[in-house]
Amino acid sequence: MDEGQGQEVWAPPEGFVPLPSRVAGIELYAPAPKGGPPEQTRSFKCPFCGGITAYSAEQRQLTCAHCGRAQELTAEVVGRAAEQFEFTLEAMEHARYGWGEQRRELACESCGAVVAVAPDVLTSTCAFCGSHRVLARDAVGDALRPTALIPFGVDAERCQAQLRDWLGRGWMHPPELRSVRALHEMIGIYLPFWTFDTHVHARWRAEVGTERTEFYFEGGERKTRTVIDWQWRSGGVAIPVRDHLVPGTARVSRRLLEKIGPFDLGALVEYAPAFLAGWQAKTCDVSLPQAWETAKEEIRERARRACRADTGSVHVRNFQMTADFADERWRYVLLPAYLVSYRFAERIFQVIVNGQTGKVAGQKPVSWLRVWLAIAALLAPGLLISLLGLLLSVFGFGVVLIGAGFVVLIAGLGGAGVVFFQARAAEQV
Amino acid sequence: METDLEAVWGVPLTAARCLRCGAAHLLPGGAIPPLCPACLQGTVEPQPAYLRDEPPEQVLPYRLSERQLAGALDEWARGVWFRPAELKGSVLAARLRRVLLPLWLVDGLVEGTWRADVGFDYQVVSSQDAYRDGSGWSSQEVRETRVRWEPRAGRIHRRYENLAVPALDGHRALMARLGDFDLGQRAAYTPEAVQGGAVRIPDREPEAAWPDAQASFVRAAQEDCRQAAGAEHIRDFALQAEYRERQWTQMLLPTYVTWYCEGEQAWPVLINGQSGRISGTRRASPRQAGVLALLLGGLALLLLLPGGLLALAGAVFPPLAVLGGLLLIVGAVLALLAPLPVIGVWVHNRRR
Repeated sequence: MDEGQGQEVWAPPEGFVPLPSRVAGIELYAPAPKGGPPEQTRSFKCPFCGGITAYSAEQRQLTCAHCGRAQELTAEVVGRAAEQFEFTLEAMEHARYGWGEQRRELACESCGAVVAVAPDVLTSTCAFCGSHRVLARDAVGDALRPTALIPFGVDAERCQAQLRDWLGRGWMHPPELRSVRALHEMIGIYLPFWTFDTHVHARWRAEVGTERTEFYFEGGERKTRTVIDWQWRSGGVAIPVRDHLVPGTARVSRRLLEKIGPFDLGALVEYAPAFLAGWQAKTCDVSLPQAWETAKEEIRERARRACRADTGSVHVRNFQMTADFADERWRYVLLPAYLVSYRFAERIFQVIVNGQTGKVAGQKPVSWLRVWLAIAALLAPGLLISLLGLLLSVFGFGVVLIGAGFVVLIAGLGGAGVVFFQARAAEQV
Repeated sequence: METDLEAVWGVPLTAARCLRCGAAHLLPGGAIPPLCPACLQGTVEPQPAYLRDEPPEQVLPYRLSERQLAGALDEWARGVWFRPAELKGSVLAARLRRVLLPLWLVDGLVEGTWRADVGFDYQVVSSQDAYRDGSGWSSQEVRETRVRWEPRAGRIHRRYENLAVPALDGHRALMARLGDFDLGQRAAYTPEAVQGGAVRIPDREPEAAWPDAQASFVRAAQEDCRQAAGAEHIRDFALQAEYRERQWTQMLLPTYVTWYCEGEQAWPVLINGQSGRISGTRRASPRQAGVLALLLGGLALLLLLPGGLLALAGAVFPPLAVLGGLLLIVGAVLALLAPLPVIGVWVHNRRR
């Protein structure tokens, strides 16, 4: 130790702040926590004219609705390196019990109005002056807040065009859909998602059968038959899982959300309130433990399929396996989507558009009259040819036509089945 | 100037030094032991000692008497094949001598700055899932404790008292043999505490022991900084400090020394006077093993010779060949077994 170091000249390292010490005579300094004060809201106003600003998906920057001037956004693109968290007991407990049902009051910095918002709302527009306010970040170090997001990359106008195109597509839907009107404006909303990373070490053990051809004699005749030799085998499969996506909301059909995917998570940026200005954003209503259970079920099924494939045989019995999860990490992100609904034949249908790629998915009514006509058209040739064959068989040469008609009828039945199930699937989205 | 020992320590003591190992002791009265209490090899001769003008500040009292140790020594000496005649509890107990070992105690004020990484334990939840055809999936939650390391820095202004610092060159080796002492049981020095026992004189003066003392200060400060941060672990601790108001005193640790002779050498046995832990080499006697080997070898010879003769006589009278063969076999087995005691003892002693 060097002696003679004067303690008067000592200053704590840069960025360190004092902490309470549990021992007298010892001062304690630690790095200042990241993030701002808890429950901060930010209002977005134009620095030039004081007008209301919002994030523009077209220009990828904050623009003023009044003077049209734009402000650059300098958020860092973190992509798949966005901050991840471990499954600590603390986080799981916090996630299990959430923030309660109490509502929060956000004060508008522009006009001073106080607006109550639900706890799962991240953004709000003042009903009195129209300014956009965004929750900056909750309590310091609170991981159960979004840490990254993908900004909107497709504007509402382009989405409208794609929506019209999508509605008019497909012969099994009513042609009136082309002229249907949305119930309301397209809502651009950041939807919550959980992403999970893990390494699964799977070990399997099973009786694996190998086919073998053997010869035998029956009634003095040499014959062959296939027999299966069973043998206990074991093996292991390592499965790295990267960014397994599970929706953080149950209010939008998961099937629809899967249909508008994939999202390019390489475009993730650090959470910055400016990206949410003028857009809606929801926090999750599917908790971390619930989402992790869903992800685990999907991942372990993937592991089971990989182990089955690892056996190298189609003959497997008494199959058993273990799947050890290691290095589990999670991340809470916001992904952009447009929600819109329309009314048709007294029913409301939901449509969702990927706010990053513009891919559309949604519910569309099925015109069963068209479907049945198509099925009839597929079956008719076979039936007609067979009928003609029957008639000509009176003259003794209709057998060939009956055979041909049967073949065409079978093909028609196959096609009809495909059409029927496609129509059912389209209706059940 | 030579220290007036009786005036300082309160009891008549004679300073003496071993001519072989150089260890210096204060011996009660004028009784000079035949062997050095430290090495048990050399002889000791009275020599003037230059000591501090104050007695030890504290003494760790003996908790076990010579009588209480007799049974433990008897137990310790058992279980050795061909044990030397002197390796007996009664002999060891009769030779027990009290030896007080010195330890420096240092007080001081630490003023400076520190920096370290402190570690906080936290638990993570993981899963181990199992699948079986027909039963489906079952899941088991697994909890794992991990450490989160965070940097900390700060200032320190703390006074430490009675930090233990080795006063002997071989202190660590001695402590490894004697085990830990409970320093919390220490008492103030009284002349009665050293009566009837030898007191080892420190090999190192405080100035020479300062590097060890400084390390003790750093260890104490590190532990306090860990507690100040409320952390479970600390690493990469760096302390830039001044050590003021240093004060050195001495403490005496209670030990017993005894020995047994095997061959030409005396083998020491050390005993912790507080915990009763016994440490020493339990040797086997090569002489006894050699005697048994000779007996077995002689017996083998006695069997092999008539066995050979009888086997030869078997050419004339065949039944004698059978008897001769038996004697030859038994004799050969004994001849093979004969060196085993010597080899066993050699291996035993070598391992110790």
